[in-house]
Amino acid sequence: MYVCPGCAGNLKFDIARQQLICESCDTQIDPYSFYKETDAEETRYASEEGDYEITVFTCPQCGGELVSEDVTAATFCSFCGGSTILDSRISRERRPQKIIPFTRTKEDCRAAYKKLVGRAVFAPRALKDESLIQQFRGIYMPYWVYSFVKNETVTFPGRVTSRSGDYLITDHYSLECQVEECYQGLAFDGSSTFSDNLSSAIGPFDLGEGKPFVPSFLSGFYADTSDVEQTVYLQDAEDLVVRDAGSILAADPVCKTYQAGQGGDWYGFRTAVCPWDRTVELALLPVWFLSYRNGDRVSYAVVNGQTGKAAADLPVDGKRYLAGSLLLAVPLFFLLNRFFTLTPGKLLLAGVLLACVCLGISNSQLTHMIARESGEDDKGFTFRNRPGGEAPSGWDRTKGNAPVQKSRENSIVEVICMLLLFYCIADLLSYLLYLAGNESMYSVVQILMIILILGATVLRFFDVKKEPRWKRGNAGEKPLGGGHFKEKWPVLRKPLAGIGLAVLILVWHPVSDWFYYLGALGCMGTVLWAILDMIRQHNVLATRKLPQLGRRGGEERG
Amino acid sequence: MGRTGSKGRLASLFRFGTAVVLGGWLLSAGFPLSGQGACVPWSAEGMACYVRVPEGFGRKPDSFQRQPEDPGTGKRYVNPDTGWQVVVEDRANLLEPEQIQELSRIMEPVTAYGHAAFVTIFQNTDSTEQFARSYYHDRFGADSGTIFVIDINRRNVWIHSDGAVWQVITTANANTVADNVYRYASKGDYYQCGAEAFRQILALLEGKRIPRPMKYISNAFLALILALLANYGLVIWSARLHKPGEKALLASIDRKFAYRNLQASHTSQTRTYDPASGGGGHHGGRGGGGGGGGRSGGGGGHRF
Repeated sequence: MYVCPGCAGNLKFDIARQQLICESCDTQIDPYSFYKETDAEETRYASEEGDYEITVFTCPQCGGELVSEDVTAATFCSFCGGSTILDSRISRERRPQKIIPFTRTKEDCRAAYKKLVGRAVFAPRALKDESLIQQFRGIYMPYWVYSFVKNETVTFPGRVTSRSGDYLITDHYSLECQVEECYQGLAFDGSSTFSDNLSSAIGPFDLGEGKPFVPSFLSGFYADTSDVEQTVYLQDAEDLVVRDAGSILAADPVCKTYQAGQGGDWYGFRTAVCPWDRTVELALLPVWFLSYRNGDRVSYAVVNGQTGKAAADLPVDGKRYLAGSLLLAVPLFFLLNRFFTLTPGKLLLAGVLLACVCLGISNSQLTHMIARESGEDDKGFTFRNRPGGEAPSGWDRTKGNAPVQKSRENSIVEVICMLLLFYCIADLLSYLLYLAGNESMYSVVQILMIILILGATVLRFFDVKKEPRWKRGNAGEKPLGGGHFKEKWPVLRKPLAGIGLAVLILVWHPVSDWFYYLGALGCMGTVLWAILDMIRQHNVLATRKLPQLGRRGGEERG
Repeated sequence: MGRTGSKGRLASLFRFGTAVVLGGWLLSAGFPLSGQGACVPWSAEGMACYVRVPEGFGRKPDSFQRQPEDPGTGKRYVNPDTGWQVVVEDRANLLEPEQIQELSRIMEPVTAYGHAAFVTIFQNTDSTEQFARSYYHDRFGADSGTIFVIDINRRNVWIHSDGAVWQVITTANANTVADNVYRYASKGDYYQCGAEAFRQILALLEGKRIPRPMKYISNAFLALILALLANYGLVIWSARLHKPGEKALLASIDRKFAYRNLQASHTSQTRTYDPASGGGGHHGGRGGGGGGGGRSGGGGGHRF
């Protein structure tokens, strides 16, 4: 606890005044003028066998033992509520070089949150409850801040190709220029427990407003230290820089003339713009946190303590969602009756289409869900939980040793396969339409669909081809449909059963309408089932496993 | 739902293995759109549909030339006020003479609005739809009226309408009527099939209602699913984590990239043998198809 020199009260950082303020006598002290060697005293206890060791901090105000997470740097005493800095964590672990003090007050944060949840019509009422909103807590989160500098003469290859009879003549060139490059302040969250999704959603922070770190800024707030290696996000930061610098350089007419960065010369071009002089520093950045417990899961709302940008996991209240859908269904029903009379075959096709839509959405959600639950979508979490815990690539990588990025090979064969596949699908759809009874539209629709699909394929082909390899990220190629189909099968089989039933009836092509109606109703039944699954999946995606960012004890109004 | 049999069905079976992706725009091309009727469901008498009759309905166009009666061509009645005809042509010999008389009597009120034709066929090279369209055009030109065809060969019933009648007996209504009567044809009761079809056509022309329970049941399901999906879209939109793009990220940092003295110097030259691909070949081509003949009208049908 930082003690007021006047009255021995608790000094806390006041956001509005950007000073340390005494709660009792309102004394103002500049954070930089107040330095305390040790706040909470640390004691280590080891078992006799030496197989475990615990660290206990003692509250400087009341002598109570503080319980904290391994990465906690500032917390509140469970007994007296006093703000306590765990200095040893800051000094022994990684000491931050920079801090952006909170500039947005809790009121600003509540207003931003209310605005965010206001547009979530189907969010649980509890999320909008005033007593919950009161529980926002200010936490300084660790961020790795990357900076890149390059100031040197670079060379990269270029070429000009021309034809002479049966020969292709390629003239090779060496392009040279003086590059001056400086990117400072690319911040990535350095906590394995802070989701990358949430942290990037409230970004970016303006590191220009960062101040040299002193522990007194933490008084009155929670704070974490980093548990993720500084190299984890290096590649992401580097890719960002290379894409930006490369785009500027590649736009030069000389580079265009000599096709610099295209085809097989991409690596030399990337090397030319990639800055090798890198520095990283740890910064503590301000984030307002709110957690909402839902059964054995929890959802979070976060607000950027500097800019006020809010992001939240917003689950859906099933009852509100169903009630809202029933209300919307009434005018839709009258609208459909006014404009549409579906023959049984077309009704069945409508069922197939809806089932396909649900199938696609469900598959996409499940892919995200699997990535979320396994931590695949969070680099920090993945780093922390992988065997060995070593950094994937060293910080001291040497020049020219950049990892070769895996990217899609857009060969002619691939494009031909895509065309064939799309043609089959187009033909199939036309045929289903034909079976459904619209004979006159069969040929027209078939031709139209093939033209559209061919057009889309050609556009896609050229779009991919024109993107240079140095621009692509370092993410590996994802399997078709996200993979993990074994895990997804219990959910996906529902709409698939509906599609299968409908296709069976369309192929069987019975005379009686009842088969079509029963098939359509069955298919739509599976669609309804799939939609309910989608809502359940959304709620899983909008909540996270416990415990995460578990906060214990201390002052609720911290 | 007129069809021309099982052409190519078996050959296309393998294609269903790839049936995973469907475009949203597909169905819109296939949906019949009927904007002429005002539907009021769940009436006191049950599920039915009111149809508004267009203004000026039932009047004969000035250009109409009354034709002499000719029993050999199936003409059974000519409305003395409007000049519209009743035609019953039983080429497939499905009806008894007294059934033809009775059917003509049932069809007579339709002539207040346009021609009424009932045709049965047992041999036809075209689809039932094409036959109905051609027959109507050859017989009545662009006059207002409707024709009901029973195609024994293809086991199809088809209703085709034109002129003012088409504004009421739209494709959607023709499909509904065909759906309501095809079961009689399936049972071999062709008279009842035709009689019920013209009763329902007359009901629609008079602004009355015809039963269409499945339309309301299926539309209720569709409306519910569309509402659930629309609200799901709203959920996704509101819950999406809006991440800043690369431009926003780069704009927030201290960033500078400059280059100068960009020069190119020739280093080497390579030659690769790459024979130019020959184009050659004839550009065959088929002539373009002729345009439509300005025909109007449309209809719907059902297999039986």
